[in-house]
Amino acid sequence: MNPVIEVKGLSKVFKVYEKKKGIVNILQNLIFPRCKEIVAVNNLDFTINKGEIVGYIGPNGAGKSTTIKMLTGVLVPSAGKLTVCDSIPYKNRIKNAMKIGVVFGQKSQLWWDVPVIESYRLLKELYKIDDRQFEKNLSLYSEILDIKNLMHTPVRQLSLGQRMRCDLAASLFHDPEVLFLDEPTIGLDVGVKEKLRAFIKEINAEKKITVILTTHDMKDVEELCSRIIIINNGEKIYDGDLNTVKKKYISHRILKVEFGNNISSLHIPCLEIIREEDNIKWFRFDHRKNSVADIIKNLFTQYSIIDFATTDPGIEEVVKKIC
Amino acid sequence: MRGLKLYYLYLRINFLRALEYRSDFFAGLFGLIMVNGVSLILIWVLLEKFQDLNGWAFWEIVFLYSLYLTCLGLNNLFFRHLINLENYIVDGTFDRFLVRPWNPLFQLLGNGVSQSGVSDFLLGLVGISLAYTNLSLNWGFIDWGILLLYILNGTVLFSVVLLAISSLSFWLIKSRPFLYGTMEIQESVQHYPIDIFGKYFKYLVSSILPYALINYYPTKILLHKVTNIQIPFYVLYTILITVIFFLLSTTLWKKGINRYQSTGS
Amino acid sequence: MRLLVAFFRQHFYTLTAYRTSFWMTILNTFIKIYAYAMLWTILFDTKGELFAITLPQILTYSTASVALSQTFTWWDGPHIYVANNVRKGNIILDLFRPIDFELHMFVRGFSNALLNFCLYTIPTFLVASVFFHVRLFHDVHHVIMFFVSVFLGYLVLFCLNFLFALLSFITLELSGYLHAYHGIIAFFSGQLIPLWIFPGYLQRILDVLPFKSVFYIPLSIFIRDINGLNIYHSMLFQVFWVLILFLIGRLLWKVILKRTVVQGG
Ligand SMILES: Nc1ncnc2c1ncn2[C@@H]1O[C@H](COP(=O)(O)OP(=O)(O)OP(=O)(O)O)[C@@H](O)[C@H]1O
Ligand SMILES: [Mg+2]
Repeated sequence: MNPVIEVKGLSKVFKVYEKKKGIVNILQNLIFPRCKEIVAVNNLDFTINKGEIVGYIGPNGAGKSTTIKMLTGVLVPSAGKLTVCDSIPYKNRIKNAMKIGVVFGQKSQLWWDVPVIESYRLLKELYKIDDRQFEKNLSLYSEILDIKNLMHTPVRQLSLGQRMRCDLAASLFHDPEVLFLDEPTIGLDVGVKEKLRAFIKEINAEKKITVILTTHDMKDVEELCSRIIIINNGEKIYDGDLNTVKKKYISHRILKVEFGNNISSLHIPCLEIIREEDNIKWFRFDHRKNSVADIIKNLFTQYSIIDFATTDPGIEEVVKKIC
Repeated sequence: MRGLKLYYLYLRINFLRALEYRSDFFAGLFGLIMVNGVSLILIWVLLEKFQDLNGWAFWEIVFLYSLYLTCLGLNNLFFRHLINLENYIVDGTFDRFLVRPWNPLFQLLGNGVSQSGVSDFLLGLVGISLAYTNLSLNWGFIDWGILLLYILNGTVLFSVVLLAISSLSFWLIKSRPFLYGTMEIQESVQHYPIDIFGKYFKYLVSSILPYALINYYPTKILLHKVTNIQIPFYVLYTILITVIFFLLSTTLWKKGINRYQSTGS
Repeated sequence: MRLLVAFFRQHFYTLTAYRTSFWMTILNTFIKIYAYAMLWTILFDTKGELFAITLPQILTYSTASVALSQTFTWWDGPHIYVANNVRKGNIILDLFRPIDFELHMFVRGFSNALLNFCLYTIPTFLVASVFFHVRLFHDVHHVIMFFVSVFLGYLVLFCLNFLFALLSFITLELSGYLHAYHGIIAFFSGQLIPLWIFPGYLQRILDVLPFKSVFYIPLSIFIRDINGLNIYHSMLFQVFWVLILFLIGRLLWKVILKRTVVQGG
């Protein structure tokens, strides 16, 4: 295994001016402004290997974007060490930029008022991409992402989903070694999300591109990531694979049952009802204390049952629980 | 080479953008003619009544004024948008500049040209020509050389001072107020021979805010208000200050990028 | 009145949110006061006999004029508001507000002017007056007359700005004309140079135009260049122009409103 990203003791502290209400405070602020410090990222360690897809998750304000910005060379860390592809991002910005692709979900990297293809051509020159590679990638990406007929539309006329697809392609023309995605699926519909996920999977498999992804959509994580890092208040609280964390933190499963007739009460003590819709009911049970087989057997003997299914609660539950 | 090519491509893409929002060039030109015209007419009104201003005649002041305008125009044309740095910092666009494999400063400069610069530059040249004829000047080769040198130097000096001020955005977010903070000083230097403002003002605009090097000193040289022996000293001093400011502003820029805080989204 | 207070608060918050802007504006005002004071001192020293007034008087005039410029703004006001909103396309919202459009503009502009008067004009003038030994008020009558005249001056400026604002309903683009407009105000109103310095024929033209109501009349009353009964004459002149300009504004507004509504904005 060769590490692509190494982070040790990484911290970032922001200094901001305090704003206060009230006439007296305002007039006082005109003369003596006050500063305060915000610790956005605190003493972070992790290593990411080539070809991994890592989900970087945590609640709002956890410090995800701040970490991504340090890894991409936008921000200079307040303390700690980091290397990305054997160089230090903020010291060798240009070298680093050549090796990484970045998508900030909230902001487009394309030139707002000109057709998409114009932006791509400029990127081609910026990243010193040769004609063959450019053409090859252009046809590949426009195929998978289905953006062929958007090429001549000005970016500001694209819908969010269309723009996101174009943005994603734009970050990959130079075949980067690492792809940073900061909330790439924010505000997109299910169809577009699936398309993006399929695309990310494919380029990861084919080009061995390492992907770091922040998101609030846990389906992204569950479908894409073999490994997750959870942070909260700037500190890492979990780093490992998805199933382990689920096992560790999730003590219950969800059982969905469709009954043949409407029943008013249920006589199985270990099932806790959480939702119901007509004849369908959802229950919660501790799968470490009770075996699924027993519960099902019990149900079948007492009631008429049309259908049933058990599911894991999503990773959301984990995040909610830990943070 | 690659830099020039990229600069061209950046300008091209921004030109395509500008085509989408065409604003009226002639309305702008008309406005600038009015502003500069009124400024000069006011000076004319003053000098009509008082004959001269501390030894300067009307057309000499026109020369002073126009030389400044010429450099300002060139600066506006190519460097004016440095001041947009604060917008890019506020809306987070600057993040983008930092993850692209080209010097962020050039990306910023490549972000367009300001057409008002063209009007200023042309008006400046017209003013210089009018002053030249009305003062019945008859320059030799060296004088023209000095004029050219000072126009170039003035443009560079403008741009590096602007860069230094814009770089303050990295610390304070808002740097425009500082540019506006020098506005009155600039106007005074542009409109009047600075010796009327007393020696402290003169020191100030010859060193820390070296706007007088843009028009006052070259005008003194070119209108023969100094002795020949002083000329090389003036020229060397001007270049020295420009170099110092160049180093200062690029250092500030580099320090600023490392200090950059981005935005919280 | 409640509306006035509300706007006043809002302006206060925006103004104080930008600390550096605030101080830079103050700094600029002082520099400008200084520059003009030096200019007049030089001119007075060399050609004192050409002045109809004393040196303290002209210094007071120019200092007060610069300080007052922060209140009598051309870079802010109904015309800027209208131009911005026409460009953004949401002026139509203002047309359907349950308040007369011109009154809305007036309350907005006046509250801002009042704030600027308290935060910029008065402090800078008072501080500067210490340095330049400018003459302050003589008696209560003088004080009242001066403030009434300033208020009338503001009304004239507001009406002019409002007329100019109506222009952007027609042209949809103001930036070019804005400079021209600024030039006219600065030149004709006595903001930079008292009108009696102008050559005779220009004076006769400016005497009948409304512009001198804005700066020249209040300032001349302030330095007691206009005395006794002449004060009332000048104020009548101001009132006259307020009425005329107001009526023209009303008329034009009716016409434009019809046009805009018919076009559907
Ligand atoms: N440029 C900045 N200046 C000041 N504070 C900042 C800045 N950027 C981030 N912060 C603060 O640092 C903390 C972490 O922010 P960050 O943007 O990294 O969170 P995040 O995990 O990306 O959250 P989200 O899920 O909402 O995007 C927050 O408290 C935020 O307010
Ligand atoms: Mg974020």
